[in-house]
Amino acid sequence: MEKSKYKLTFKGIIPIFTILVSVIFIYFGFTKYGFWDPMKGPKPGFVPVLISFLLLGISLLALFTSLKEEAPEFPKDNWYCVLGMVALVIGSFIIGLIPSVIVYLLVWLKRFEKVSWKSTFIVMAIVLVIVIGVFVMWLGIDFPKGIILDAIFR
Amino acid sequence: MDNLLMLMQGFTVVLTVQNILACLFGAFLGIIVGAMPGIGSLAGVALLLPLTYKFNPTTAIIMLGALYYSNMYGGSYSAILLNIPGDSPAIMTTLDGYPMATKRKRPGQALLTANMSSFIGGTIGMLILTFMGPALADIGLKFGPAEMTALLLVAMTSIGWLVGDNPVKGLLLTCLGILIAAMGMDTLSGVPRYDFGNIYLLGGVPFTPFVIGMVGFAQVIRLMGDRNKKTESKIEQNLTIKGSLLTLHDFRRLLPPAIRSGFLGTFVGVLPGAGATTGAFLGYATQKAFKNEEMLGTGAIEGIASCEAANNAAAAGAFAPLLALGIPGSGTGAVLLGGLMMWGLNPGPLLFTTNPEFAWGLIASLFIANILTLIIALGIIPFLIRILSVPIKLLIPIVSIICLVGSYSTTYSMYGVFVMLISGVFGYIFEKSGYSTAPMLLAFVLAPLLESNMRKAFIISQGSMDIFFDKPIALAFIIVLFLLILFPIVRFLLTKFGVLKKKIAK
Repeated sequence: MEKSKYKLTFKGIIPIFTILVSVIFIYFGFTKYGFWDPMKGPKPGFVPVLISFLLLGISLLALFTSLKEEAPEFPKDNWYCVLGMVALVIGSFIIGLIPSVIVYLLVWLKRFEKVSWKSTFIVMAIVLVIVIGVFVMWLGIDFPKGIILDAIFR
Repeated sequence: MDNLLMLMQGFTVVLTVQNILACLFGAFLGIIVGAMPGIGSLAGVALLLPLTYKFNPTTAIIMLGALYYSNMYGGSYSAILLNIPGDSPAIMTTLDGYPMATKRKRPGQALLTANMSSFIGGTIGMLILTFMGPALADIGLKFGPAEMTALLLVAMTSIGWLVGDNPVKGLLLTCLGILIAAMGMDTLSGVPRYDFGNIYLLGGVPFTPFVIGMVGFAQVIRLMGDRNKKTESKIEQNLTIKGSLLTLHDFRRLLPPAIRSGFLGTFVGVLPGAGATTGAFLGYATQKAFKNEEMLGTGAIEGIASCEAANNAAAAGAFAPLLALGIPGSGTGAVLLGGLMMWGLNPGPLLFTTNPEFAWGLIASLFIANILTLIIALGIIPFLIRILSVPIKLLIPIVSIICLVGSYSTTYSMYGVFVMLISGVFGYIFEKSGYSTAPMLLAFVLAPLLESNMRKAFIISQGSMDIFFDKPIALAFIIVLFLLILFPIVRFLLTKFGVLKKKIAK
């Protein structure tokens, strides 16, 4: 049997997502924030509601046109950096941001990318100059120290 | 004449040690970021935003302006030496740059042609900006809420309509950008809205982490697919400054196309949605109509000069609507505008009268950046092959961590990091699905201005739409808006009924 020419692909997910967003904004705009006051004119929901109706129409059009499009590919490899970042965020809650950055770089460059120690140390030096030199010393940013250090110094 | 005097005053603002160093730093980073394939000016400016918090607004925007501008220089290096454009405006440079470097074995001259043409084009753009900026601001002073609303709608629609291959997708993300910007406190009434009970959302979606994620981290996710690609140059000879110098004959060849494209590029840069890429395309296409010593596409100096001059002129020209009307013409312009707003400045018709030091200081700084970038560009020639050979897999963790610490530093909490991560993932999905994120950034930045003007217009007119049709300037913008909306529809119908030929995929 011949496959249907029209199928819902990932490209169709984006218009569906924006349809949902527009419906939520229209609902809250009308019910909670208000659209129009006969005396004062536009209320806080006025512009969001107008734009949401426009978004709803465009999303329906985009959904219709997306049925003929091929789905994009999202290779598994591309998501590793997101996982790496999530691990870094979790690590910074536990051991602090700067130690987490060092561990992340070691694991990423030595274990994952398998680059030489020389390259690893060069990258680490660049990153630490940026993080400590620029952000901590120059901009005075106080990065999270993590629950372990917080517990010790409390 | 007044403008030149004000420009001179601008130079007195810029010529401080701090501003010159900021300009130098921005120009240096811009060249490096532009030279490395895959990062681009948008991500470069976004990543540098947190570093500018230490400066006063003038110094900060001088640094960002220099970075954005010098990026146009850097984009041509990988185009010439590797046949890989560093950013989209450099696509046309590959056509003649790479053959000149490899077939004609004149890589140094190709680089210097690009640099010199960029300098000439940029200078023309800045001179026109000096006169056009205040003139545009004078026109802008006549704008009321209705005119501003119509103009903002034109700017948003045109970039949504023109960027990317599908206008519907551009418009979809434009609307989404406006809605995201609506979250948080309503600026007119002070009422919290669309916070969904979340204390962090009360302050809205923070601009810097949102932009860093949408362009910087999304780019990192994209680069993951290319991390094992080797960028090796086929250039056999060593690049030296002396060996790259142009002959008088070379210079005579590059001058006419560079001047022509300089004028053309500036006017293209002023148009919203057009920008440096369109400028480069048009500059090259126009050059085809003129006499060239060698055929274009075979390594002709005229080919490199025409597109490089046009893209730098467009980058300078784009500052005119940005400063005078508060309307950026591109995603990078939107980030610059967001930065200005973050520092409490409101670009628009009043900027030249309320903050003349800032407006003229920025214009003057572009002239300084142009000279500094040319000097850096010359000095960097011997190291270019090494800079271009930095493996992407080493860049990925560096850029990722800059995204993380940059986002944290703007909010002093992990909220900024979460916003960056979420917008990064969405940015990647959008780009992979053919949705350009530039219109969304523009809409996000311009949304508060659009909303306040639209609401004021409706308050004045007591809800009547007539206010947009009664005033001649507003009516003119509304007509442009309809033309913009109708253009792709008419093109689609003409193609469907065979009046226009369909594009044939190669």
